[in-house]
Amino acid sequence: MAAISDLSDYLNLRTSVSPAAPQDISKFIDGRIGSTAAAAEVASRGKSFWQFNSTIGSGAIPGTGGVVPDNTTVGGMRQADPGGGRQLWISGASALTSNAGLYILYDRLLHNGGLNGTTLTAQTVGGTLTRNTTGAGNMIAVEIYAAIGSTATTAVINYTNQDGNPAVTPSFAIGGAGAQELGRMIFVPLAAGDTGVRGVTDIDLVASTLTAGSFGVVIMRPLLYLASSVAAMPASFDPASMRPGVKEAVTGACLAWAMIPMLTTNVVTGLLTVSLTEK
Amino acid sequence: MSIATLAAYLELFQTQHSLVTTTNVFTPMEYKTANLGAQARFGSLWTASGRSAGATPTTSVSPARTLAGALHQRARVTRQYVLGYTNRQSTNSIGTPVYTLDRLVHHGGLSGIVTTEQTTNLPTAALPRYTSGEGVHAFLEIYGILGTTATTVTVRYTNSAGTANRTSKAAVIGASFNREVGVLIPIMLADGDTGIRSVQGVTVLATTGTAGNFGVTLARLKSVHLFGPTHESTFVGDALLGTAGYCEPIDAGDPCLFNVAFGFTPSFAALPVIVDTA
Repeated sequence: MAAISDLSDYLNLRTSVSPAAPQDISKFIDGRIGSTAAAAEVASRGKSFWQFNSTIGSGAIPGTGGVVPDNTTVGGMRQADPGGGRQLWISGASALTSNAGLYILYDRLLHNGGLNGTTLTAQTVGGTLTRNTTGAGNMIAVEIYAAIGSTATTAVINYTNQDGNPAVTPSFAIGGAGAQELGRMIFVPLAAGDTGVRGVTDIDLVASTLTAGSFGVVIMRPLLYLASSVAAMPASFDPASMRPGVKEAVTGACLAWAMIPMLTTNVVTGLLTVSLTEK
Repeated sequence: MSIATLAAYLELFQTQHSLVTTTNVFTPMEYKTANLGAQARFGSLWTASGRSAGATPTTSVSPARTLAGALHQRARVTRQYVLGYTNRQSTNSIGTPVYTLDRLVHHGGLSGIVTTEQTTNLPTAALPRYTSGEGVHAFLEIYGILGTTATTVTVRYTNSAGTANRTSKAAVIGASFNREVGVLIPIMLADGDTGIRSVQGVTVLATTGTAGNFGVTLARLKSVHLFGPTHESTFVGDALLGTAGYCEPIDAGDPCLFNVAFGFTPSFAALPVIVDTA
Protein backbone atom coordinates (compact mmCIF):
# COMPACT_ATOMS: atom_id res chain seq x y z
CA MET A 1 0.00 0.00 0.00
CA ALA A 2 1.36 3.40 -0.97
CA ALA A 3 0.26 6.87 -1.81
CA ILE A 4 0.41 8.31 -5.32
CA SER A 5 4.08 9.11 -5.69
CA ASP A 6 4.29 11.71 -8.47
CA LEU A 7 2.51 13.02 -11.56
CA SER A 8 3.64 10.16 -13.75
CA ASP A 9 2.29 7.69 -11.23
CA TYR A 10 -0.99 9.65 -11.07
CA LEU A 11 -1.40 9.79 -14.86
CA ASN A 12 -0.54 6.13 -15.22
CA LEU A 13 -3.10 5.14 -12.58
CA ARG A 14 -5.73 7.50 -13.98
CA THR A 15 -5.47 6.11 -17.51
CA SER A 16 -5.27 2.47 -16.58
CA VAL A 17 -8.01 -0.01 -15.83
CA SER A 18 -5.69 -2.44 -14.12
CA PRO A 19 -5.72 -3.29 -11.28
CA ALA A 20 -8.82 -1.09 -10.97
CA ALA A 21 -10.49 1.59 -13.07
CA PRO A 22 -10.59 5.08 -11.56
CA GLN A 23 -13.96 6.40 -10.49
CA ASP A 24 -15.47 9.72 -11.61
CA ILE A 25 -18.70 10.57 -9.81
CA SER A 26 -20.88 13.62 -10.39
CA LYS A 27 -23.95 15.05 -8.76
CA PHE A 28 -26.13 17.96 -9.88
CA ILE A 29 -28.07 19.83 -7.19
CA ASP A 30 -30.81 22.44 -7.60
CA GLY A 31 -31.03 24.43 -4.39
CA ARG A 32 -34.18 22.73 -3.15
CA ILE A 33 -34.78 20.22 -0.39
CA GLY A 34 -37.82 18.17 -1.28
CA SER A 35 -40.51 20.61 -2.37
CA THR A 36 -39.01 23.50 -0.44
CA ALA A 37 -36.37 25.95 -1.58
CA ALA A 38 -33.37 25.72 0.68
CA ALA A 39 -32.91 28.64 3.03
CA ALA A 40 -31.43 31.85 1.71
CA GLU A 41 -27.71 31.95 2.17
CA VAL A 42 -26.17 33.90 5.00
CA ALA A 43 -22.57 34.83 4.44
CA SER A 44 -20.19 32.77 6.55
CA ARG A 45 -22.91 30.43 7.81
CA GLY A 46 -22.46 26.78 6.95
CA LYS A 47 -24.63 24.94 4.46
CA SER A 48 -25.03 21.19 4.16
CA PHE A 49 -25.78 19.65 0.77
CA TRP A 50 -26.77 16.33 2.38
CA GLN A 51 -30.50 16.72 1.80
CA PHE A 52 -30.34 18.84 -1.34
CA ASN A 53 -32.32 17.47 -4.27
CA SER A 54 -29.90 15.71 -6.54
CA THR A 55 -29.63 13.79 -9.78
CA ILE A 56 -28.18 10.78 -7.94
CA GLY A 57 -30.39 10.91 -4.86
CA SER A 58 -30.81 12.95 -1.71
CA GLY A 59 -29.83 12.14 1.84
CA ALA A 60 -32.53 11.23 4.32
CA ILE A 61 -32.94 12.64 7.82
CA PRO A 62 -31.14 10.18 10.12
CA GLY A 63 -32.81 8.36 12.98
CA THR A 64 -32.66 9.47 16.58
CA GLY A 65 -29.66 7.38 17.66
CA GLY A 66 -26.23 8.09 16.28
CA VAL A 67 -25.81 5.96 13.16
CA VAL A 68 -22.88 5.48 10.81
CA PRO A 69 -23.53 6.29 7.14
CA ASP A 70 -21.19 4.66 4.67
CA ASN A 71 -20.30 4.63 0.99
CA THR A 72 -23.65 3.05 0.10
CA THR A 73 -25.75 5.67 1.85
CA VAL A 74 -27.78 7.88 -0.48
CA GLY A 75 -26.75 11.48 0.03
CA GLY A 76 -23.05 10.72 -0.24
CA MET A 77 -21.10 10.32 -3.48
CA ARG A 78 -21.41 6.52 -3.21
CA GLN A 79 -18.03 5.48 -4.51
CA ALA A 80 -17.05 1.81 -4.66
CA ASP A 81 -14.61 0.56 -2.06
CA PRO A 82 -11.10 -0.43 -3.19
CA GLY A 83 -10.26 -4.07 -3.71
CA GLY A 84 -7.23 -6.31 -3.47
CA GLY A 85 -5.78 -4.64 -0.40
CA ARG A 86 -5.42 -1.37 -2.25
CA GLN A 87 -6.27 2.10 -0.98
CA LEU A 88 -8.59 4.64 -2.57
CA TRP A 89 -7.25 8.14 -3.10
CA ILE A 90 -9.20 11.30 -3.82
CA SER A 91 -7.33 12.41 -6.93
CA GLY A 92 -9.74 15.11 -8.05
CA ALA A 93 -12.75 17.14 -6.97
CA SER A 94 -14.69 20.19 -8.04
CA ALA A 95 -17.64 22.19 -6.79
CA LEU A 96 -19.69 24.79 -8.61
CA THR A 97 -22.78 26.63 -7.47
CA SER A 98 -24.29 30.03 -8.05
CA ASN A 99 -22.60 31.18 -4.82
CA ALA A 100 -18.95 31.41 -3.82
CA GLY A 101 -17.12 30.36 -0.71
CA LEU A 102 -15.40 27.41 0.83
CA TYR A 103 -16.55 23.96 -0.22
CA ILE A 104 -15.83 21.09 2.14
CA LEU A 105 -15.61 17.47 1.04
CA TYR A 106 -15.82 15.37 4.17
CA ASP A 107 -16.33 11.87 5.45
CA ARG A 108 -19.67 11.85 7.25
CA LEU A 109 -18.65 9.57 10.08
CA LEU A 110 -21.78 9.57 12.24
CA HIS A 111 -25.06 11.45 12.30
CA ASN A 112 -28.39 11.52 14.05
CA GLY A 113 -31.69 13.35 13.79
CA GLY A 114 -34.83 13.88 15.80
CA LEU A 115 -33.51 16.62 18.09
CA ASN A 116 -35.64 19.68 18.66
CA GLY A 117 -35.27 23.36 19.34
CA THR A 118 -37.53 23.59 22.36
CA THR A 119 -36.24 20.83 24.63
CA LEU A 120 -34.21 22.15 27.53
CA THR A 121 -32.99 18.85 28.90
CA ALA A 122 -30.03 17.00 27.47
CA GLN A 123 -30.84 15.43 24.11
CA THR A 124 -28.96 12.21 23.49
CA VAL A 125 -26.86 11.62 20.40
CA GLY A 126 -24.77 8.48 21.00
CA GLY A 127 -23.53 5.99 18.45
CA THR A 128 -20.05 4.62 17.85
CA LEU A 129 -17.57 5.64 15.18
CA THR A 130 -16.35 2.95 12.81
CA ARG A 131 -13.95 5.16 10.80
CA ASN A 132 -11.22 7.40 12.12
CA THR A 133 -12.02 6.03 15.54
CA THR A 134 -9.09 7.75 17.23
CA GLY A 135 -11.04 10.95 16.73
CA ALA A 136 -8.07 12.98 15.54
CA GLY A 137 -9.20 15.70 13.16
CA ASN A 138 -12.88 14.96 13.55
CA MET A 139 -15.29 17.86 13.93
CA ILE A 140 -18.81 18.31 15.28
CA ALA A 141 -21.56 20.06 13.34
CA VAL A 142 -25.22 20.66 14.00
CA GLU A 143 -27.39 20.20 10.92
CA ILE A 144 -30.89 21.69 10.67
CA TYR A 145 -33.38 19.28 9.06
CA ALA A 146 -36.49 21.43 9.61
CA ALA A 147 -36.39 25.04 10.70
CA ILE A 148 -36.10 25.58 14.43
CA GLY A 149 -37.16 28.78 16.17
CA SER A 150 -36.28 32.36 15.40
CA THR A 151 -35.23 33.05 18.99
CA ALA A 152 -31.49 32.85 19.31
CA THR A 153 -30.05 30.91 22.19
CA THR A 154 -26.92 28.93 22.93
CA ALA A 155 -26.06 25.30 23.45
CA VAL A 156 -23.20 23.11 24.53
CA ILE A 157 -22.29 19.59 23.45
CA ASN A 158 -20.86 16.90 25.69
CA TYR A 159 -18.40 14.77 23.79
CA THR A 160 -15.41 12.48 24.07
CA ASN A 161 -12.21 14.03 22.78
CA GLN A 162 -9.34 12.54 20.80
CA ASP A 163 -7.74 11.21 23.98
CA GLY A 164 -10.87 9.47 25.15
CA ASN A 165 -11.63 12.04 27.82
CA PRO A 166 -15.04 13.64 28.40
CA ALA A 167 -15.22 17.26 27.30
CA VAL A 168 -17.73 20.06 26.84
CA THR A 169 -17.74 22.46 23.92
CA PRO A 170 -17.80 26.20 24.45
CA SER A 171 -21.33 27.51 24.11
CA PHE A 172 -22.35 28.26 20.55
CA ALA A 173 -25.26 30.06 18.94
CA ILE A 174 -28.28 28.11 17.77
CA GLY A 175 -31.67 29.38 16.69
CA GLY A 176 -32.34 32.80 15.28
CA ALA A 177 -31.48 34.13 11.87
CA GLY A 178 -28.58 32.31 10.28
CA ALA A 179 -28.70 29.44 12.77
CA GLN A 180 -32.19 28.06 12.40
CA GLU A 181 -32.93 27.45 8.72
CA LEU A 182 -33.39 24.23 6.78
CA GLY A 183 -30.03 23.02 5.51
CA ARG A 184 -27.94 25.19 7.80
CA MET A 185 -24.81 23.57 9.22
CA ILE A 186 -23.38 24.99 12.43
CA PHE A 187 -19.73 24.09 12.93
CA VAL A 188 -19.18 23.66 16.66
CA PRO A 189 -15.90 24.67 18.34
CA LEU A 190 -14.15 22.15 20.56
CA ALA A 191 -12.92 22.78 24.07
CA ALA A 192 -9.57 24.52 24.33
CA GLY A 193 -6.73 22.13 23.55
CA ASP A 194 -8.87 19.48 21.89
CA THR A 195 -8.10 18.41 18.35
CA GLY A 196 -10.68 15.76 17.65
CA VAL A 197 -13.83 13.88 18.60
CA ARG A 198 -14.47 10.21 19.29
CA GLY A 199 -18.15 10.50 20.12
CA VAL A 200 -20.96 12.84 21.11
CA THR A 201 -23.00 12.16 24.21
CA ASP A 202 -25.67 14.83 24.09
CA ILE A 203 -26.54 18.43 23.35
CA ASP A 204 -28.02 20.93 25.82
CA LEU A 205 -29.91 24.04 24.78
CA VAL A 206 -29.83 26.88 27.31
CA ALA A 207 -33.23 28.21 26.27
CA SER A 208 -35.94 27.38 23.79
CA THR A 209 -35.76 28.68 20.24
CA LEU A 210 -39.60 28.55 20.44
CA THR A 211 -40.02 26.16 17.51
CA ALA A 212 -39.19 22.47 17.78
CA GLY A 213 -38.19 21.96 14.17
CA SER A 214 -35.75 19.13 13.67
CA PHE A 215 -32.01 18.97 13.82
CA GLY A 216 -29.20 16.55 14.43
CA VAL A 217 -25.52 16.25 15.16
CA VAL A 218 -22.89 15.18 12.64
CA ILE A 219 -19.39 13.97 13.36
CA MET A 220 -17.39 14.76 10.26
CA ARG A 221 -13.84 14.42 9.08
CA PRO A 222 -12.97 17.14 6.57
CA LEU A 223 -10.91 15.82 3.68
CA LEU A 224 -10.66 18.68 1.20
CA TYR A 225 -11.29 22.41 1.36
CA LEU A 226 -11.88 24.00 -2.04
CA ALA A 227 -12.21 27.76 -2.34
CA SER A 228 -14.15 29.84 -4.86
CA SER A 229 -13.85 33.59 -4.59
CA VAL A 230 -16.37 34.63 -7.25
CA ALA A 231 -20.02 33.64 -7.54
CA ALA A 232 -20.60 30.91 -10.09
CA MET A 233 -16.88 30.20 -10.35
CA PRO A 234 -15.90 26.62 -9.70
CA ALA A 235 -13.58 25.53 -6.95
CA SER A 236 -11.36 22.60 -7.66
CA PHE A 237 -8.62 20.36 -6.50
CA ASP A 238 -5.40 21.00 -8.40
CA PRO A 239 -4.02 17.70 -9.67
CA ALA A 240 -0.89 19.29 -11.14
CA SER A 241 0.31 20.38 -7.74
CA MET A 242 -1.71 17.79 -5.83
CA ARG A 243 -3.02 20.64 -3.70
CA PRO A 244 -4.57 20.73 -1.19
CA GLY A 245 -3.19 17.24 -0.74
CA VAL A 246 -4.19 13.78 -1.84
CA LYS A 247 -6.40 12.30 0.84
CA GLU A 248 -7.52 8.76 1.29
CA ALA A 249 -11.16 7.78 1.07
CA VAL A 250 -11.03 4.96 3.58
CA THR A 251 -13.11 1.85 3.12
CA GLY A 252 -16.75 2.70 3.69
CA ALA A 253 -16.21 6.46 3.65
CA CYS A 254 -19.40 8.48 3.21
CA LEU A 255 -18.15 11.34 1.03
CA ALA A 256 -20.45 14.32 1.45
CA TRP A 257 -20.34 18.04 0.67
CA ALA A 258 -20.91 21.19 2.66
CA MET A 259 -19.96 24.81 2.15
CA ILE A 260 -19.41 28.07 3.92
CA PRO A 261 -20.88 30.60 1.48
CA MET A 262 -19.20 33.93 0.99
CA LEU A 263 -22.22 35.68 -0.49
CA THR A 264 -25.93 35.94 0.15
CA THR A 265 -26.56 34.68 -3.38
CA ASN A 266 -28.77 31.64 -3.12
CA VAL A 267 -27.56 28.29 -4.29
CA VAL A 268 -30.05 27.54 -7.06
CA THR A 269 -28.07 24.99 -8.99
CA GLY A 270 -24.70 23.32 -8.84
CA LEU A 271 -22.48 20.42 -9.74
CA LEU A 272 -20.25 18.49 -7.35
CA THR A 273 -17.67 16.00 -8.60
CA VAL A 274 -15.13 13.68 -7.10
CA SER A 275 -12.55 11.46 -8.77
CA LEU A 276 -10.91 8.53 -7.06
CA THR A 277 -7.92 6.38 -7.90
CA GLU A 278 -6.92 3.06 -6.41
CA LYS A 279 -3.40 2.15 -5.52
CA MET B 1 -2.00 0.88 -22.50
CA SER B 2 -2.03 3.73 -20.06
CA ILE B 3 -0.29 7.07 -20.33
CA ALA B 4 2.79 6.03 -18.43
CA THR B 5 4.60 9.24 -17.72
CA LEU B 6 4.13 12.95 -17.34
CA ALA B 7 6.33 13.50 -20.38
CA ALA B 8 4.13 11.28 -22.53
CA TYR B 9 1.05 13.09 -21.31
CA LEU B 10 2.44 16.51 -22.04
CA GLU B 11 3.44 15.44 -25.51
CA LEU B 12 -0.05 14.13 -26.13
CA PHE B 13 -1.63 17.33 -24.96
CA GLN B 14 0.68 19.53 -26.97
CA THR B 15 0.67 17.59 -30.20
CA GLN B 16 -2.62 15.73 -30.00
CA HIS B 17 -0.87 12.71 -31.37
CA SER B 18 -2.78 9.56 -30.83
CA LEU B 19 -1.04 6.66 -29.25
CA VAL B 20 -2.72 4.67 -31.97
CA THR B 21 -0.95 5.95 -35.03
CA THR B 22 -3.40 4.49 -37.48
CA THR B 23 -6.14 6.73 -36.15
CA ASN B 24 -4.14 9.87 -35.76
CA VAL B 25 -6.96 12.08 -36.96
CA PHE B 26 -7.73 15.43 -35.43
CA THR B 27 -11.07 16.21 -33.90
CA PRO B 28 -12.60 19.32 -35.49
CA MET B 29 -12.36 22.61 -33.71
CA GLU B 30 -15.42 23.41 -31.64
CA TYR B 31 -16.61 26.86 -32.59
CA LYS B 32 -19.95 28.17 -31.45
CA THR B 33 -21.52 31.59 -31.67
CA ALA B 34 -24.94 31.96 -30.17
CA ASN B 35 -26.53 33.70 -27.28
CA LEU B 36 -27.38 30.61 -25.35
CA GLY B 37 -28.11 29.80 -21.77
CA ALA B 38 -28.59 32.10 -18.81
CA GLN B 39 -26.65 33.50 -15.91
CA ALA B 40 -25.75 30.96 -13.27
CA ARG B 41 -27.42 28.10 -15.09
CA PHE B 42 -26.13 25.10 -16.97
CA GLY B 43 -26.38 25.70 -20.70
CA SER B 44 -26.11 23.22 -23.56
CA LEU B 45 -24.11 24.21 -26.63
CA TRP B 46 -25.91 21.54 -28.69
CA THR B 47 -27.91 23.90 -30.88
CA ALA B 48 -25.46 26.79 -30.85
CA SER B 49 -24.65 28.08 -34.29
CA GLY B 50 -21.14 27.81 -35.64
CA ARG B 51 -19.48 24.60 -36.62
CA SER B 52 -21.96 21.77 -36.56
CA ALA B 53 -25.03 23.28 -34.93
CA GLY B 54 -27.35 20.58 -33.67
CA ALA B 55 -30.98 20.41 -34.65
CA THR B 56 -33.89 20.33 -32.26
CA PRO B 57 -34.73 16.68 -31.80
CA THR B 58 -38.25 15.32 -32.12
CA THR B 59 -38.63 11.61 -31.52
CA SER B 60 -36.45 10.16 -28.81
CA VAL B 61 -33.26 8.69 -30.20
CA SER B 62 -29.73 7.93 -29.17
CA PRO B 63 -27.72 10.45 -31.20
CA ALA B 64 -24.59 9.39 -33.02
CA ARG B 65 -21.04 10.62 -32.55
CA THR B 66 -21.13 12.28 -35.95
CA LEU B 67 -24.50 14.01 -35.64
CA ALA B 68 -24.48 17.78 -36.06
CA GLY B 69 -24.13 19.34 -32.64
CA ALA B 70 -21.71 16.71 -31.39
CA LEU B 71 -17.94 17.07 -31.08
CA HIS B 72 -17.55 14.56 -33.90
CA GLN B 73 -14.46 12.97 -32.40
CA ARG B 74 -12.71 10.20 -34.27
CA ALA B 75 -13.94 6.67 -33.77
CA ARG B 76 -12.80 5.00 -30.61
CA VAL B 77 -10.22 2.24 -30.89
CA THR B 78 -10.01 0.98 -27.34
CA ARG B 79 -10.26 3.80 -24.87
CA GLN B 80 -10.44 7.53 -25.34
CA TYR B 81 -10.15 10.47 -23.01
CA VAL B 82 -11.38 14.01 -23.53
CA LEU B 83 -8.30 15.44 -21.91
CA GLY B 84 -9.08 19.07 -22.43
CA TYR B 85 -9.19 22.02 -24.74
CA THR B 86 -6.57 24.34 -26.10
CA ASN B 87 -6.88 27.83 -27.51
CA ARG B 88 -10.24 28.27 -25.96
CA GLN B 89 -11.85 31.68 -25.97
CA SER B 90 -15.17 32.67 -24.59
CA THR B 91 -17.00 35.89 -24.01
CA ASN B 92 -19.01 34.50 -21.20
CA SER B 93 -20.11 36.90 -18.50
CA ILE B 94 -17.60 35.30 -16.19
CA GLY B 95 -14.90 32.73 -16.49
CA THR B 96 -16.66 29.45 -16.80
CA PRO B 97 -16.20 25.74 -16.62
CA VAL B 98 -17.00 23.59 -19.61
CA TYR B 99 -18.29 20.10 -19.07
CA THR B 100 -18.16 17.40 -21.73
CA LEU B 101 -21.03 14.93 -21.56
CA ASP B 102 -22.03 11.76 -23.35
CA ARG B 103 -25.42 12.59 -24.84
CA LEU B 104 -27.05 9.21 -24.44
CA VAL B 105 -30.63 10.02 -25.45
CA HIS B 106 -32.47 13.16 -26.43
CA HIS B 107 -35.90 14.23 -27.55
CA GLY B 108 -38.02 17.34 -28.09
CA GLY B 109 -41.51 18.58 -28.75
CA LEU B 110 -42.80 19.42 -25.27
CA SER B 111 -44.72 22.61 -24.52
CA GLY B 112 -44.52 25.20 -21.78
CA ILE B 113 -48.27 25.81 -21.75
CA VAL B 114 -49.69 22.30 -21.49
CA THR B 115 -50.52 21.49 -17.88
CA THR B 116 -51.50 17.87 -18.24
CA GLU B 117 -48.87 15.17 -18.46
CA GLN B 118 -47.09 15.36 -21.80
CA THR B 119 -46.00 12.15 -23.48
CA THR B 120 -45.17 13.56 -26.91
CA ASN B 121 -42.28 11.57 -28.40
CA LEU B 122 -41.94 9.69 -25.12
CA PRO B 123 -40.91 7.34 -23.59
CA THR B 124 -37.25 8.03 -24.17
CA ALA B 125 -35.27 5.58 -26.24
CA ALA B 126 -33.33 2.85 -24.50
CA LEU B 127 -29.98 3.91 -23.10
CA PRO B 128 -27.17 2.76 -25.42
CA ARG B 129 -24.57 2.84 -22.62
CA TYR B 130 -24.81 2.77 -18.82
CA THR B 131 -28.00 0.88 -19.51
CA SER B 132 -29.07 0.53 -15.88
CA GLY B 133 -29.22 4.30 -15.60
CA GLU B 134 -26.86 4.43 -12.64
CA GLY B 135 -24.75 7.56 -12.92
CA VAL B 136 -26.94 8.94 -15.71
CA HIS B 137 -28.25 12.48 -15.29
CA ALA B 138 -31.58 13.65 -16.71
CA PHE B 139 -32.18 17.19 -17.93
CA LEU B 140 -34.92 19.22 -19.52
CA GLU B 141 -33.28 21.01 -22.46
CA ILE B 142 -34.92 24.14 -23.83
CA TYR B 143 -35.00 24.49 -27.63
CA GLY B 144 -37.60 27.25 -28.04
CA ILE B 145 -37.94 30.00 -25.47
CA LEU B 146 -40.58 29.37 -22.81
CA GLY B 147 -42.80 31.87 -21.07
CA THR B 148 -42.03 34.45 -18.42
CA THR B 149 -44.12 32.84 -15.70
CA ALA B 150 -42.23 30.64 -13.28
CA THR B 151 -43.78 27.31 -12.39
CA THR B 152 -42.53 23.83 -11.62
CA VAL B 153 -42.19 20.64 -13.58
CA THR B 154 -42.00 16.97 -12.65
CA VAL B 155 -40.90 13.96 -14.64
CA ARG B 156 -42.28 10.42 -14.53
CA TYR B 157 -39.46 7.97 -14.99
CA THR B 158 -38.05 4.50 -14.54
CA ASN B 159 -35.25 4.43 -12.02
CA SER B 160 -31.97 2.56 -12.23
CA ALA B 161 -33.48 -0.39 -10.37
CA GLY B 162 -36.09 -0.75 -13.12
CA THR B 163 -38.99 0.59 -11.09
CA ALA B 164 -41.38 2.46 -13.37
CA ASN B 165 -43.64 5.43 -12.68
CA ARG B 166 -41.36 7.20 -10.26
CA THR B 167 -42.05 10.93 -9.98
CA SER B 168 -39.14 13.32 -9.75
CA LYS B 169 -38.99 16.19 -7.35
CA ALA B 170 -40.31 19.44 -8.74
CA ALA B 171 -37.91 21.73 -10.56
CA VAL B 172 -38.45 25.35 -11.48
CA ILE B 173 -39.20 26.06 -15.14
CA GLY B 174 -40.19 29.28 -16.90
CA ALA B 175 -39.24 32.93 -16.22
CA SER B 176 -35.75 34.37 -16.46
CA PHE B 177 -32.90 31.90 -16.15
CA ASN B 178 -35.23 28.93 -16.65
CA ARG B 179 -36.73 29.69 -20.05
CA GLU B 180 -33.90 30.60 -22.42
CA VAL B 181 -32.80 28.47 -25.34
CA GLY B 182 -30.00 26.18 -24.27
CA VAL B 183 -30.81 26.12 -20.56
CA LEU B 184 -30.48 22.67 -19.04
CA ILE B 185 -32.66 21.99 -16.02
CA PRO B 186 -31.35 19.01 -14.03
CA ILE B 187 -34.03 16.56 -12.93
CA MET B 188 -33.89 15.68 -9.26
CA LEU B 189 -34.74 12.11 -8.37
CA ALA B 190 -37.33 10.89 -5.91
CA ASP B 191 -36.10 9.89 -2.47
CA GLY B 192 -34.36 6.55 -2.53
CA ASP B 193 -33.49 6.66 -6.23
CA THR B 194 -29.91 6.91 -7.45
CA GLY B 195 -30.22 6.78 -11.24
CA ILE B 196 -32.61 7.14 -14.15
CA ARG B 197 -33.15 4.69 -17.02
CA SER B 198 -35.93 6.29 -19.06
CA VAL B 199 -38.59 8.99 -18.96
CA GLN B 200 -42.25 8.32 -19.68
CA GLY B 201 -43.93 11.69 -19.12
CA VAL B 202 -43.40 15.32 -18.17
CA THR B 203 -45.90 17.48 -16.28
CA VAL B 204 -45.72 21.27 -16.13
CA LEU B 205 -47.70 22.41 -13.09
CA ALA B 206 -49.00 25.68 -14.57
CA THR B 207 -48.47 27.44 -17.84
CA THR B 208 -45.29 29.42 -18.36
CA GLY B 209 -47.23 31.58 -20.84
CA THR B 210 -45.41 30.51 -24.00
CA ALA B 211 -45.34 27.07 -25.60
CA GLY B 212 -41.73 27.17 -26.74
CA ASN B 213 -40.15 23.78 -27.11
CA PHE B 214 -38.25 21.59 -24.73
CA GLY B 215 -37.30 17.96 -24.34
CA VAL B 216 -35.59 15.36 -22.22
CA THR B 217 -31.86 14.72 -22.46
CA LEU B 218 -30.20 11.81 -20.67
CA ALA B 219 -26.45 12.20 -20.36
CA ARG B 220 -23.39 11.20 -18.39
CA LEU B 221 -20.58 13.53 -17.40
CA LYS B 222 -17.29 12.51 -19.01
CA SER B 223 -14.85 15.29 -18.22
CA VAL B 224 -14.58 18.63 -16.45
CA HIS B 225 -12.60 21.56 -17.85
CA LEU B 226 -12.24 24.54 -15.59
CA PHE B 227 -10.95 27.79 -16.94
CA GLY B 228 -9.70 31.07 -15.58
CA PRO B 229 -11.51 33.67 -13.54
CA THR B 230 -12.02 36.20 -16.29
CA HIS B 231 -13.94 36.26 -19.52
CA GLU B 232 -12.61 36.86 -23.00
CA SER B 233 -9.42 35.06 -22.12
CA THR B 234 -7.50 32.18 -23.55
CA PHE B 235 -6.77 29.23 -21.37
CA VAL B 236 -5.82 25.65 -21.60
CA GLY B 237 -8.42 23.43 -20.01
CA ASP B 238 -6.72 20.26 -18.86
CA ALA B 239 -8.99 17.63 -17.39
CA LEU B 240 -6.34 15.54 -15.66
CA LEU B 241 -3.70 18.02 -14.59
CA GLY B 242 -5.06 21.51 -14.82
CA THR B 243 -8.49 21.32 -13.29
CA ALA B 244 -10.68 19.00 -11.34
CA GLY B 245 -9.07 15.70 -12.21
CA TYR B 246 -12.37 14.45 -13.62
CA CYS B 247 -11.86 12.52 -16.85
CA GLU B 248 -13.84 9.35 -17.26
CA PRO B 249 -12.58 7.06 -20.01
CA ILE B 250 -14.67 6.43 -23.08
CA ASP B 251 -14.54 2.69 -23.28
CA ALA B 252 -17.97 1.66 -24.51
CA GLY B 253 -19.51 2.57 -27.83
CA ASP B 254 -18.75 5.79 -29.65
CA PRO B 255 -20.52 8.43 -27.60
CA CYS B 256 -22.20 11.56 -28.84
CA LEU B 257 -20.09 14.11 -26.98
CA PHE B 258 -21.34 17.64 -26.45
CA ASN B 259 -20.40 20.56 -24.27
CA VAL B 260 -22.22 22.26 -21.44
CA ALA B 261 -21.19 25.63 -20.06
CA PHE B 262 -22.27 27.40 -16.90
CA GLY B 263 -23.71 30.81 -17.59
CA PHE B 264 -24.63 32.86 -20.60
CA THR B 265 -22.48 31.92 -23.60
CA PRO B 266 -22.22 34.32 -26.52
CA SER B 267 -19.26 32.54 -28.05
CA PHE B 268 -17.06 29.57 -27.51
CA ALA B 269 -14.07 28.32 -29.44
CA ALA B 270 -11.85 25.44 -28.49
CA LEU B 271 -9.83 22.66 -29.95
CA PRO B 272 -10.62 19.44 -28.13
CA VAL B 273 -7.77 17.19 -27.11
CA ILE B 274 -9.11 13.69 -27.41
CA VAL B 275 -6.65 10.84 -27.31
CA ASP B 276 -6.81 7.12 -27.78
CA THR B 277 -4.96 4.72 -25.57
CA ALA B 278 -4.77 1.21 -26.93
